[in-house]
Amino acid sequence: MRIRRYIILRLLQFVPVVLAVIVINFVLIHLAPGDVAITLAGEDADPAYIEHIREVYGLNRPLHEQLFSYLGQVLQGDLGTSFRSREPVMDEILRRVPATLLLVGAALFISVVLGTAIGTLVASRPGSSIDTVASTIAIALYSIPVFWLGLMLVLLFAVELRWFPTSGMFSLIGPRDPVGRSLDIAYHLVLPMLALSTVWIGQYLRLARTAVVQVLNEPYITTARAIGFSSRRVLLHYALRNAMLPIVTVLGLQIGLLLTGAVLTETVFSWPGLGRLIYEAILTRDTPLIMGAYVMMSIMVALASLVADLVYAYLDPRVVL
Amino acid sequence: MSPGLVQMMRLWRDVLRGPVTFISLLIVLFIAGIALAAPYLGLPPPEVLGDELYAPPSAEHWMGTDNNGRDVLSRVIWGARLALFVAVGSAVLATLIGIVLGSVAGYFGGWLDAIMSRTFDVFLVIPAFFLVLLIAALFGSSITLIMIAIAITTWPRSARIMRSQVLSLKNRTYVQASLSAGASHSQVLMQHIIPNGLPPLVTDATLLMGLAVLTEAGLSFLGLGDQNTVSWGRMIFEGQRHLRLAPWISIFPGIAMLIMIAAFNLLGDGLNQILNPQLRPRKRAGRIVTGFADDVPLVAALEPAEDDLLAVRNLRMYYQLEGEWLKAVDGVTFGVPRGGSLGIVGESGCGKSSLGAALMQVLPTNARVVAGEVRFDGRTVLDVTSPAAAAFQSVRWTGMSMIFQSAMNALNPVLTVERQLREAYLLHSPDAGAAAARARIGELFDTVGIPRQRMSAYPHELSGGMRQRVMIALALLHNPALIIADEPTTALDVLIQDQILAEIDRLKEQLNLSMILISHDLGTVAESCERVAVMYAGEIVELAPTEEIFSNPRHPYTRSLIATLPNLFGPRRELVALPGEPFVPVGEMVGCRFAPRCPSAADICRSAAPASRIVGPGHQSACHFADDAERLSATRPLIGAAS
Amino acid sequence: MSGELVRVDNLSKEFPLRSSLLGTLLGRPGATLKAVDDISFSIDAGQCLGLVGESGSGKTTTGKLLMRLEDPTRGAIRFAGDDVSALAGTALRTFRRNVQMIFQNPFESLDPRLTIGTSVARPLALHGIGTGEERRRRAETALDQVDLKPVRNFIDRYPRDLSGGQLQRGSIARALILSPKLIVADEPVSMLDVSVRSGVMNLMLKLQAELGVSYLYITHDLAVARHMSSRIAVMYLGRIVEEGPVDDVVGRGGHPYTRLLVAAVPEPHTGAPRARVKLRDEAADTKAIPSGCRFHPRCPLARAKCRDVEPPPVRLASGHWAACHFAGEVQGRGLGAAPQGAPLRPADQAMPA
Repeated sequence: MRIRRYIILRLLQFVPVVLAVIVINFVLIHLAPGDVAITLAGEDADPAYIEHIREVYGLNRPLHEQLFSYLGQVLQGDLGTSFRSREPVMDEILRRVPATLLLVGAALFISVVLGTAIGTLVASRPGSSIDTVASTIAIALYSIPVFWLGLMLVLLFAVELRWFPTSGMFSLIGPRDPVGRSLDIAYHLVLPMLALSTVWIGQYLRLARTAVVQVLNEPYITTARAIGFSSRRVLLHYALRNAMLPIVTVLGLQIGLLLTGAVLTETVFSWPGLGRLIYEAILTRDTPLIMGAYVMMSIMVALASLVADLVYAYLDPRVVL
Repeated sequence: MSPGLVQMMRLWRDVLRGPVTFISLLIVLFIAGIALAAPYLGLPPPEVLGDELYAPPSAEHWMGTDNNGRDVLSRVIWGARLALFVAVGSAVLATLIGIVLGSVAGYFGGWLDAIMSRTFDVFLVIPAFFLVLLIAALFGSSITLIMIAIAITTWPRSARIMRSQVLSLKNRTYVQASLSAGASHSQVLMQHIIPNGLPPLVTDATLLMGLAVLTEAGLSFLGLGDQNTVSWGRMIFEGQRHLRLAPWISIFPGIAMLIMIAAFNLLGDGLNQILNPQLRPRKRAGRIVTGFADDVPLVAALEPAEDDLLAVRNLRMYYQLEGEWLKAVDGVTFGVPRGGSLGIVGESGCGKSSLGAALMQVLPTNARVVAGEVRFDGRTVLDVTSPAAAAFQSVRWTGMSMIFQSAMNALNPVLTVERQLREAYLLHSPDAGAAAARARIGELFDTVGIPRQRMSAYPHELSGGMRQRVMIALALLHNPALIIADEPTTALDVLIQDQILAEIDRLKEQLNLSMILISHDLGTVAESCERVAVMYAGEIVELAPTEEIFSNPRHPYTRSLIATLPNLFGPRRELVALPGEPFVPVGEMVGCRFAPRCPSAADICRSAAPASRIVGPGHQSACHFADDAERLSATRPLIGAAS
Repeated sequence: MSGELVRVDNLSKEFPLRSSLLGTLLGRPGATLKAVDDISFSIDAGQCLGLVGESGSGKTTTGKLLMRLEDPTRGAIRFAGDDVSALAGTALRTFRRNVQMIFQNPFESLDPRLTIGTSVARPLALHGIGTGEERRRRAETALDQVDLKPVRNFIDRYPRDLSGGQLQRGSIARALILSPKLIVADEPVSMLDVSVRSGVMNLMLKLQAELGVSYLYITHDLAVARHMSSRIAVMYLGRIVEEGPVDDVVGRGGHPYTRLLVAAVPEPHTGAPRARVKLRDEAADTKAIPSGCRFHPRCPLARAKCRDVEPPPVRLASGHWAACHFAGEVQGRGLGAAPQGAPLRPADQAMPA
């Protein structure tokens, strides 16, 4: 009951976030120089046609009216219609979400698991040379610009070695059966996922290392050692569980940053995800699509932080929801 | 010298100490130097088209030329200028905004803080990169605009850091003192809080710089960067079309970017470790330590008896500090008879807790037992000269267990107390089932006076006294013969302290336990223990039956310890105050360690270390004048014995 | 000079507990923690009042209220006749000069960025007293007074170079430099080593004798309180439960809580075991103050009356009172007293989940 109440409260807190996102975007878009109607109609369009466009899209009404009517729409779950494709924005977005989830999810899984494992191992010997080397490499890894790494991977594994495809999510003439299709997607997934997880792994390695080193200095670890638990058991059973707490916190906070890496990677690999959609929408000034995508993205980020908090509360009994 | 200068010098010294931090600082300075000097390096202008298209790296063009015949090296160097400008500009701007808003929110609190920190949170949730993307796309992409856009999307990070800094600093007592001396809020903020709160922001600004470079490059890579300047991101963006033909166009700017961002991040990380020493890894003590076993052993006057349950001889446990050894336990010899109790008393840093850790063999990573022998129940459980022969594992927790200081943290916060006790029980009784474990835990809860229904509680759900009772139950789990209690009641309230001590005393009698009680409080030890050992600077300076310690103390340190305590009953007496501070046993030591503070000290005390000698039945003292009552009385006499 | 310097009447301080943003904005009252609950006491000029209590008793909050670092929820503090909460402008500045504080944690008491000399002279600068050179000379004098000698070895050092005892002397010097009439000392020696503690206590007593300054000495240690003070007030869960001359309170206490505190102090000098009283309940919860007498759940003498009726202060001697229904009996026979009525059942141990 308490959990449900907490979730409802947290979902209510999304409202100001989404509202802020809408207002900020709305203001930005409408403050920007240039006329959306002209963009839509084309530079040398007939003034009457431009006027018609304004009429159709409601661009001639006062700003606050436009804002309120948009808010009203959003409340009903309607994100409007894309200027370019004339399709409902919601459909366009939902079509792209699975690809992004697949890419981000797979890369995140690999980097969190591997990063935490290596970080924990390194943490059991703090100050050793292997610790210094691993920590330095970790920092170097997350300093790599992900799009550049993507290009380098393409250069090496797709262009030179021809092991993997250079871009896309499917082969043009690929298998149609579900198994074959999944394998085909997995095959296309390897390089973008490798690019993302290489950059992210450093982050989680550092995080896990710091967290485990700190936990190992806690008195309850001394208690466990005094009782006679093996150092392996102390590390895996006692230290790691407590060290997961800061990792979960950071995971929740960094979803926005992760999406940044995703949009750049999607561009390099022409991965048909949400990031690329936003990028294209911005380039073409597809206002409803931009707004819709931002709203959805903020909701995703907020949901992710909610999930992180719930996991945290599950791991740490001291947290009262 | 101004405080700022002194701090800078200290910082500099610390930077020099960490090679990675130092190198990354050099790299940042090197890049900055080259970038600033770009116009004077005699490079081909970055935008001038050349005749040689797609030339691979050569002596003439170190990094080759691009699709327009422009020199890649020159473009990389000019790109560094832009990267630096964006990095420094946006980091400084974001940090300034963060400082102002964060300190206002943190300092004034209340509804202002509630609203502001909620705003920070909202901003943190909005993916910053996309906002910058939108701004750049809508408002044109001049580099100044991009810089400002990065700053206004990253400031909430600085604001949050500043806010939490201020929240902790405003309760520092020097801030309270300043307020109570009449300082205004703005004076306090400007003079104390903001200057002391800055270091983590400076660290974070370094990280922000790396982030800014990445963001700008990302924008340029998407084709949304400033078209009028040379940017690494744009080079890669343009280069990707020629990836097969001329990969060097994209490879080199990427490497430059990687080096610069890594240097920023490593620098930030290094600064962070310097400013938060607790993050710094402790130096591990070397595995093999020789030479200390030969240190002159303190001639222990009282050797442990043959049938003592615990016999400790010449135990030395040292900590490795920067290049030096802290001799925390330095040649300690004593015995604890079966059913007997020994109190170990001393001030913080005297080595009493280290002694407990050494006996229980739970050393911090930077500590080593370098000499000595411990026998338990007739068996050698620790022997530095033949470590293989020692078998502590067989008595650990089953023969000898420990009650730790600060039960708040000595129990694992994320596991129920029952689970912690059960796991400890099953570890040493692997054949017993869960039911047997539960029965044993229930029995122990009855013994130590905790209601059984509290078994499923987490440590934080119990009061301090209850937690300490759980610790006692944990120590009793396997019916040990000896319990080491390290400050078992410190940090508890007076009344509860008394209850816990009474509990320990009762259990000791009832279960015929042997006990070592480590405490800073002479009174506590006096009540519970038959014998008392007084430690100073790693050594036992006096060891005697409890009444003897009080009625006939034969070491000036013991005498002054007694005379520094205010009494609750009887006439008020003037307290003895010792000059100086407790001695820290580091490096070469000549003479008696207490001599610098000793009112009875003579020349010999400063030149020769006193050996322990027997001064009465079961009573030893390590003082040159242990037998010289007149000399000893220079250290203010004891209190009127039984008042 | 003698006479009343500080007079505190019916002082209360409540802190809001975990309020929501919405609640704060709407001004909706949330649950509160009664840190200080209707206390009254006075301190005479040149005297030291020892304020004794466990953690959560409200003793530190009382000190902060007296310093006007917190504003009271109810009640009044008068300093030299003036209502402290009404002070403003020059009068407030004068008050700030007259009342200073010494804190528990010596390692946080001085700004780490400033030299000891600068920190000590800072109050002068804040009040615009003297030139830079004069201020430094006065800082030297103050450091000399607190025995940080030779002064030139300390005045330009930074806090991180000094030990706890030296830092605490530094904060005393800073408190002294404005020649205050009252110093609120909040556990000034509890974090110091035993061998250093007595020196700081002796110093404070010496300064009191020489300068005639008054102290409110806040501590959990009854023996320290007795050593430093002429009168003692015992606080429990926000309320003063007993007050009187030091030896009356320690030797002939009328409140069972005082008696328990006295009994809990180990007697180091004899090593003889004391008779120990078993508490009925260990925890004192500041968030839920019990009905009737707030000590009744833990009191070994509690009767039904104690659960239901809040005890008024009972006068035991001139200037000595205790808030216990059975104060007279307790004063006469200690914890062995047998008040009328059947003892309460042992407290229900079940705790809220």
